Amino acid sequence: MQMESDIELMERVRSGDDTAFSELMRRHYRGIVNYIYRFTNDRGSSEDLAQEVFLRVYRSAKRYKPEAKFSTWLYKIATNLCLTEVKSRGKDQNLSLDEIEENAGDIGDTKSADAYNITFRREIGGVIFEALKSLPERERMAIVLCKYEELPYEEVAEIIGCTVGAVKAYVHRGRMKLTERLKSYIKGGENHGMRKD
Amino acid sequence: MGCEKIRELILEYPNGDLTQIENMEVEVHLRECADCRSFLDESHRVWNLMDMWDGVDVNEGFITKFWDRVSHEDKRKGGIMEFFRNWKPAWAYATALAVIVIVSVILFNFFESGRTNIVFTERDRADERLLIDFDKSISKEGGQSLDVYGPWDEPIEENNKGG
Repeated sequence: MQMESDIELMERVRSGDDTAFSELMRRHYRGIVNYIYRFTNDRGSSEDLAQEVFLRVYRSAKRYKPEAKFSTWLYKIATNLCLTEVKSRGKDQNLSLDEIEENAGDIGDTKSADAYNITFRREIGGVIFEALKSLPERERMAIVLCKYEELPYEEVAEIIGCTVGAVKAYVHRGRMKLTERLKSYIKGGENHGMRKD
Repeated sequence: MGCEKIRELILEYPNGDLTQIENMEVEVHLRECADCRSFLDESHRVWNLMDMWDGVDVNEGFITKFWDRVSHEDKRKGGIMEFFRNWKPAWAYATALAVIVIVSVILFNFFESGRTNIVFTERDRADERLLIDFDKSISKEGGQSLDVYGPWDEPIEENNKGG
């Protein structure tokens, strides 16, 4: 049986079918929670905000017009919510390493993994988060969407609301800055199983 | 092509997004420029390093939690609407009463401020009675006999000048 598209499911949601919305969530919630997590570095609030994203989508389902991909619309809502959240948290809120570790995501089976590696991965997560946070808003969004969500430039452009060329420029400028800020951690990364290709 | 321009292209270079000419230019430049070679190497290693920031394993109960939240919000919303539905006539009466009170207070103050405080004394009453009696008792001839004190039609100033 052919799988229903997101738009078809959304049409069903519009006519009051909640099971179709459950299916839509099943497809996208992991991506949305992780996307928000790259902005907050806080597991708990990422799930709460993702719930808020889906609630907004659900409440506005009747007004939904399938002009763009459903996922684009979803990421747009998530992006707006993330930016509001980031601004409300204030610029000077920096988490301690303990807090970063506490809020960090699961990193696999701790019994089999090397404890030293686990510590490094948690620490580097906080460092990458801070480096991304220091970028201008649009560079940060473009990098998170391209790098972590693996979205094509065209979709990122629609989400951010700019041209494909502008997205490429944001990614390029952001990468240059990140290279400067993170190059001192390369050695450490390679010692802890980082990809070298 | 300078290093700055090459570095713009360098990041696209491994993705195969460059034209054949751009590819060649980058390759030639990289062979000659140690700084750009180092930049290319570092930027790719940093890009790989970013993969070490793990995502979160999302709780399986996410969807159940979502529907719980929806039903909770619906109940709460229903409760608020119920409250307003029950209180609607009362609110209308209260508003009408408030408007009447406000208008009464405004009108009362308006008329009160225009009125002077007149006290009608016993002496005023006696004067009034005297004038009424005089008016009743006086005849046409009697009235004319009062002309000796006149002339009544001339202004008082004129009269004063003359006298």
